[in-house]
This record gives sequence, C-alpha cells and structure tokens, in this order.
Amino acid sequence: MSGRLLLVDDDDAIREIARLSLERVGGWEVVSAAGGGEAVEIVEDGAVFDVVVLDVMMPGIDGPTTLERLRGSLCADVPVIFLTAKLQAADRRRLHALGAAGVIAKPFDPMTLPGEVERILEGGS
Amino acid sequence: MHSPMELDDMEPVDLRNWIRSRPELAILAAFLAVYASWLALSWIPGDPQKLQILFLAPIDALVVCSTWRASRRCAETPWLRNFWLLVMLGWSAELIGDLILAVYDIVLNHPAFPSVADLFFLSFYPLLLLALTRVPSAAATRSQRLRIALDCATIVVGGGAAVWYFLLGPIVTEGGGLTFLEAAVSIAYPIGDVLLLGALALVMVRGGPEALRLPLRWVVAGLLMLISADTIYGAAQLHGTYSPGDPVDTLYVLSAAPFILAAARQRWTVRGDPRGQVQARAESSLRASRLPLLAMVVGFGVLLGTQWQDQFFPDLSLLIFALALAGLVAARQYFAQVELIQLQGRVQTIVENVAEGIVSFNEGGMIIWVNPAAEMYFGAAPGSLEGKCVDTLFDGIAWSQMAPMVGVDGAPGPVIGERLKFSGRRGDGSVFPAEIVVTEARLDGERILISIGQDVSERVRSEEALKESERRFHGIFDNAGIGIAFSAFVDGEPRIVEVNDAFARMTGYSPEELRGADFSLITHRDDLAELAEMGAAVAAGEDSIAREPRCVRKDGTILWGALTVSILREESGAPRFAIGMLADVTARKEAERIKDEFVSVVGHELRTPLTSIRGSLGLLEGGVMGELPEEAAQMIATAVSSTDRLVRLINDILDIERIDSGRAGVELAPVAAAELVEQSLQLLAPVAEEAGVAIGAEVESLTVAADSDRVVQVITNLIGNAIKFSERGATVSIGVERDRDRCVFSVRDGGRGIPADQLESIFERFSQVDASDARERGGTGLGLAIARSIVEQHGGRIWAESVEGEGTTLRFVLPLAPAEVGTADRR
Repeated sequence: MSGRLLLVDDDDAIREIARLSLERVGGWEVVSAAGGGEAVEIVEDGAVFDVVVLDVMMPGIDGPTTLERLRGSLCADVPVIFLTAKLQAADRRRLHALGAAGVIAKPFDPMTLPGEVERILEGGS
Repeated sequence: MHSPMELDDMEPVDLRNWIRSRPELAILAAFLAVYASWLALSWIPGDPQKLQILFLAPIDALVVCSTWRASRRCAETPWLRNFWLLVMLGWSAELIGDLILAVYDIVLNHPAFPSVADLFFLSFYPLLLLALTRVPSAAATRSQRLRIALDCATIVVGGGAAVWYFLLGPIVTEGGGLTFLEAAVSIAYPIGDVLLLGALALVMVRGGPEALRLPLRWVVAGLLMLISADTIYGAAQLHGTYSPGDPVDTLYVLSAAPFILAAARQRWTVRGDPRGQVQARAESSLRASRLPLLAMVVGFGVLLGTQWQDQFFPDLSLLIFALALAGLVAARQYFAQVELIQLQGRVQTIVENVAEGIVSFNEGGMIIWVNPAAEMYFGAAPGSLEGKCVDTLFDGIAWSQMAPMVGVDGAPGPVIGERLKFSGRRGDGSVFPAEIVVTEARLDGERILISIGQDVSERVRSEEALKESERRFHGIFDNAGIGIAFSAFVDGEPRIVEVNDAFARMTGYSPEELRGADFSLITHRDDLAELAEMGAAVAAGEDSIAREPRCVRKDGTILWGALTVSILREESGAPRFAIGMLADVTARKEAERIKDEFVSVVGHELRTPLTSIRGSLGLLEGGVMGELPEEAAQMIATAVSSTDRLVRLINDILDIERIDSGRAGVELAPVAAAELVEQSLQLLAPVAEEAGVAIGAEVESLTVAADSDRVVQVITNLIGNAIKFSERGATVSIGVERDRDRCVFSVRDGGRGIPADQLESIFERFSQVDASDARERGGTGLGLAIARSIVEQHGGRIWAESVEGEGTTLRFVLPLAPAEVGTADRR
C-alpha cells in the first residue's frame, strides 16, 4: 500500500526512525510534523493525506487534542492511528473512543510497523 | 305484626324501631293486657279453668318464637346458641303438653291424669337441665369447684326439704289412693324441680360469661316461678284444695313472661366475642355464698315447721335432713377456710420475699409492722423495729416534720402516692440513699401509712460509674484525632446525631449544622454512588464498611476521606446506629497522585529512548541501511533481543507496581469465559505459530465475574509461558470448567515440568526454575507474580501442578457471575 502519510511525533529520533520505516519498508510518502500545532498548520495549508500517525504524549498540544483539531480540517473519515507508550487496555479503549482507527504500541519494531499500519487500514485493529 | 299500644307522638320512629327489633316484647305486653283484663272482668263466657288453658298455649308459643330468635342472634357463639335452642325445645314440649291437655279438657271434656301430656311436661326438665349445663364455668381451681358443688348440694337439700314436706312425703306416706303410675308421675315432677333447682344454683354461684348475664337473671326468675307453681300446684292437688282458675294457674301463665324477657335481652354476638367467653377469674362474691345460706334457712325452717305440726315426718327423716345440711355447711366452711389460708399464705410469701422494704406505721408515727426486706435494709434484728417511731429510720428528719407531709388527721398529706428520695439510717448509724412510695390504707377503721421502697445505693453507685465511663468515652470522642459522627437511623436513613470537634473541623461545618444531616451533605457529587453502595452494604448486613469517598468541605474544597462506618443493630437486625469515622487522607491521596504521575512519566521517559534504540536496531537488523557483515548482524540481533527484554521488564515492573499499590483496581463484570480465552488466543496466535506449538481449547460455556482485560492478561501470560516451555510440535491445552460456584481455568503444557519444591515459589518475583531460563526464554520473571496478583484481586486462587518431565498444569479459579451461580451445576 502506498499513499500520503502524516507522521506527528515530538521526539526527533523516533520521528526519523518511523519515517525511515514507513518510507523504506512500507513505501509511504511521509510528511513529518514535530508537534500538534505544526500538523494542524500543514493540514490547514491544504495538504491531503490518506492516514495520520499520531504520537499521544507530546508537549503543548497532545495527541488527542491534535486529533480533535485535525477533525475540523481533514475529511472526517481520514483514519488516525495513535502511537503510544501507554499500554493499558483502558488507555487503548479511550483512544478508540476518541475516533482512532487503531493504536500501535511504543517501542515498535520498524520492520513490522508498516505492516501494522496496513492491517489497521484494512479494517483490523 | 301490629301493636295495639298507643304510639307516643313525640318519638314515633324510635318506638317503631324498638318494636321492630323486639316484637316479642310488644306482643307480650299486649297479651298481658288482654290476660289481666280477662282476670279482672272474666269477659269470655265459659268455664274459667278450661279458658286458662287457652291462655297457656299462645304464651308458650311466644316463648318458643322468642328463644328461637335469641338463638339466631348468637349463632356465632355455639354454646350460647345451643343454650337457647334447648330452652326453645323445652318450651316446645310444654306447648305440645298444653295443647294435648286442652284437647282432653275442652274437646273430650274429660281431664286425664297421667296422660301423654305429662310425657311432654316431664321432658321439659331434662331439656332445661341440659340447657343450664351449656353455660361455661368460671371456676378456676379445684377447691373453688368443690365449694360450688357443696353450695349446690346445700341448695338441693334445702329445696328438697321443702319439696319433701309439700309433695313427696304425702305421696309416699299417704299414697294409698294413687295407682303406681300416678304416684310415679307425681313424684317425677318434684324430683325434676329439685334437680332444676340444683342446676340453677350451679349457674348462679359459679359466675358465668358476660354475654348471658342479663338474660340469665330472667331465666332464673322464670324457673323459680315455675318451680313455685309446681310446688303449690302439687301441694294443692294433694290436699284436694285445687280448683280450676286457682291463682296457681295464673302463676303458670306468668312464669313464661321472664323467659320472653330473657330471650329479648339476648344481644347479638360475633365470632370470638370476649363477652361469650368466661373470665378466667371466678368472681368470688359474697352474694353467691348467700344462696346456700338461704337454702339452709329454708330447709331448717321447713323441717322445724313440719315438726311443729307433726304431720308426715318420722323423726328419722328430720334427723337425716338436719345432719345432711349441717354436714354440708361444715364441709363448705372447711374448704372456704382452706382457700382463705392458701390465699393468705400466698400473700404473705409475696410480702416476705419482695425486694422492697415495707414499713407500715400509724398516724402517731409508730411502726406497726415491717417486712424482712425492710429489716435487712435498716440492719435491724427481726421484730426490733415494731413500736419504735418511724423517724429512727430516716436521716435528718424528725416525725414532727414528717407528720404534715403524710397527713395525720385522716386526710392524706401531699406526699401520699409520690415517689420520694430520702436518706435512710441503719441501726449502726450509717446512711444510705433510698427511694420510697408512701400509701395509705384503713385497718379496723384506723388510718395506717405504708411505705414501700428500696435501698438504691447500688443503683446510685452504678449510675455514678456510668457517668464516669461516659465522661471518659466522651473525652476520647471529643479529643480524637479522627472525625467521628454518631448517626441514628430514622426511617432506614442514618441522620447525624452528634459529631466530635475533629469531624466539624475537617468538614468546616459547625456541629449544629451537621446535626440532623446525612452524609450526602459532605460527600462529593461524583462519589454519591459510593455512599449508596455503603447503604446497600448496610442493608445486606455488613457491620463494618470502609470506603474512601471524596468529601466536600463547607467552603467547597475537596477532602479525601477514609471513611469507616460501624453499624449497631437492633435485635431484629435492623440498623439502629452508625458510627462514622473519618480520617483526612488528602495528603496521602496527593502523594499517591504524584507517585502515579511519576511512574507514568518514568514509563514514558524510559520508553522514549528505548523506542529510538529499538527502532534504530530494527532498521539495521532489517537491512534497511544496507547489508551488514555477519558478525555485526549477530551483534545487532543480540542488541534487539536484549532491548525487547528490557522493554518487557519495564512494562512488567510498572504493571506489578500498579497492581500492588492497589491503584489498578479490578472492575468486575459478567463476561463469558470463552470470550476471554478467545481474546488471549488471538493475541498469541503469531507467537504459537512461530514456536510451532499447537493450542487446543476445551471451554465450557460459563459466565464469570471478571475484569476482562486483566484476566486476558493472566491467560495470555500463562499460555505464553506454556508455549515457551514447549518443544516444537507439542500441544498446549486450555480448559475451562465449572467447580461448584467457581470457574477453573487450566493451561497445560508437555514441557519438562517443575520440581515439587518450587511449585509455590514460581509465583514469586524474579523467580525462575532455572537461572538460565531468563536469558534463554526471554522472560522477565514477573509474569506469574503479576498473574497471581490479578487472580487474587478477583478473589480467586492460582496454583501449579506438575509431574517433572511430563509437563505442567497451571490452574486458576475465578468466581462465577452471580446469575450463573443460581443455575444448577450441569456437570
């Protein structure tokens, strides 16, 4: 699968690794943003994406808030996948309730990350 | 039914109602008016004796009708209904007898004696006897029954003397002119009369039920009139002085009237009417004793009169009668005395054994009599107090002061009947607190005063002790560091009665504001459900409930409280008082919150660099950065697996910390066991596939009470372990089955097993069967410890069974969902 993917994470290293993984292994066209504010700006500038991968814990505007803002600009049906270090089932459920298409745990294996994204987009979770 | 009487214009309605309710009385009045006018004026032509018969039949019929109506009115009280029915039958016989006699006298014009009519007349006696024996007895004791029997015997013998003199004697001694049948029938009447007299006496002296009291008086009057008529008639017949139209005939006619009055006075009774029952206490009135006295006087009078005239009696019969009467009177006197002595003994036993001291004294202040308890209270030798002045018993008050209080000139003083506190003085001069009541009584015309009371020093002492203990506990209550609220249940809801200073201080309300309030006043809106849960727990019978609801102070700030409620119950089990103890745990809660945040931040902060490390290594290992030399690839693979282990370790440590600190509470909900197993299998399918291990599951359809995420974590953990310790190609079996009200999960592998001495310790942290396992199998050593914590949070148990070399089975039990428990065990 390929398409345009918006990757949002405040940690430079992680963002870089995820970008490499998604581009090289998954074949996505990745646009990165270092925070919620930046992501919203990119989208408001008119960029269109097939999927958004969003970190949960970020300074300033966190993941859930970013999702909320993005919902205003993006078509409501663009899937959003969260990346989170919180592994509790309750946290996962909370994110699903916010309208996430799926949740991927950190740390992730860069070799399987694109596969997980694909699986979520295909309708599994 | 019409009334020939003049109606009173003023109260026509009442009179009409009265007549409608008791028509027999109206008819009786009319009949008596007609009868009286006939007696005075003889306005019907014909033989007066024969016409007398014509008056007998209708009044007999009226008795029959009215007694029938009386029996209907008390149909709910069987004995009373039977009484009236038997009286009715008696009078029916009388009516038939009179009609037959009328046929003989008027139609055949040939008076006959004895005739079929006598058969009916005589049956009146047994029927009335039977009726009188229906009346229940109030006699309680054996001696009372004996006395009643003696009274009856005296009456029968006394009455019998009269009957003997007037009737039987002459028949027996001068019966030459009579045939055997005539004599027998003649004797039968007076004998019936005497027996009836006995039964009557029985009913009169023993006291009957309230329902029959008024009617019974009229029945007695009627029967006495009948017996008198019989006696006079019999005597007149024997002496040949009887003539038709004799006044005795009028007596016969009139004797029916009381029966009609009696029947008319019978009130309605209802089922279980207490008036239809006999009072347990026999009324021992003097009036009852006068009857046998009267009978004795009559008997002796008759006998002496007989002797004076000396007509029929041999001296022997006089002697027999006199001895019989004297014997009966003596016996009755004896038993009455026995009864009296018993009663006296009972009263004396009570007076001597009561705990109250009784002192009686006269208006001069002189002690007349004291009971043993009083002598004990005052420390006096038996008999030593009588004759002394009553003020020797009191401390600090002289008779001259007491006299006006109790009253001395026959008039009661102000303290009579009042409960008084005073200081008593013992013989040795010591003083004690006492409580008395002074009453008055008359003894042989003199007014005496009776003081009844007790030494209350013991009570005063225990009251003091109680006050002391109350003071002590109140001190604890007032000065306690925790808030205490004492509530009473009103209509099932606890209302605060009293709070201590700490409680008021903690909540910011004044004690007055809290009084009457319930706990919802100080409970945070979001935690009201918790309060409701506590209420439900109280209703379910729990006596001690601890919760940590958020409270709101009066100023609106939040107070984290540790609330412990203890319930005091009534004997019925209903809650009566609640003692709520509130500790301020805001500081602890704050510390917990900070720690939570810290753990969360640490988790995040550790995972972030780990994510980069793991990601970088992953990209290198995956060849994304180009092919690596073989040795470097080997090193990178080692770094990846170590990083993975470090990640798991961090996850497990954070997990167990959360569970053990109690912050990861379980939320129990009914969930299908099969669903839990299914979820776990989905998570582990890739792992099992990679390890080449097959998984078989045999799951009963059961619903457990569980926090599904947590239980999935446990099952996943156990299956993950089982896969790790299985050879490629082996099978891991999962089972779920019911054991009474629990659900047993089992995970079995065919691995090398666990030595028996380690079956317990594997659940401890960082404990593995083989130290090398940690490295080889990639475990953290915390999985089973976490599993045990979760299972125990569910109120379950986890354990391992193993045969070394043959594999291991790990089992854990969870409670079934409440709905499931109710269903029958289907196994």
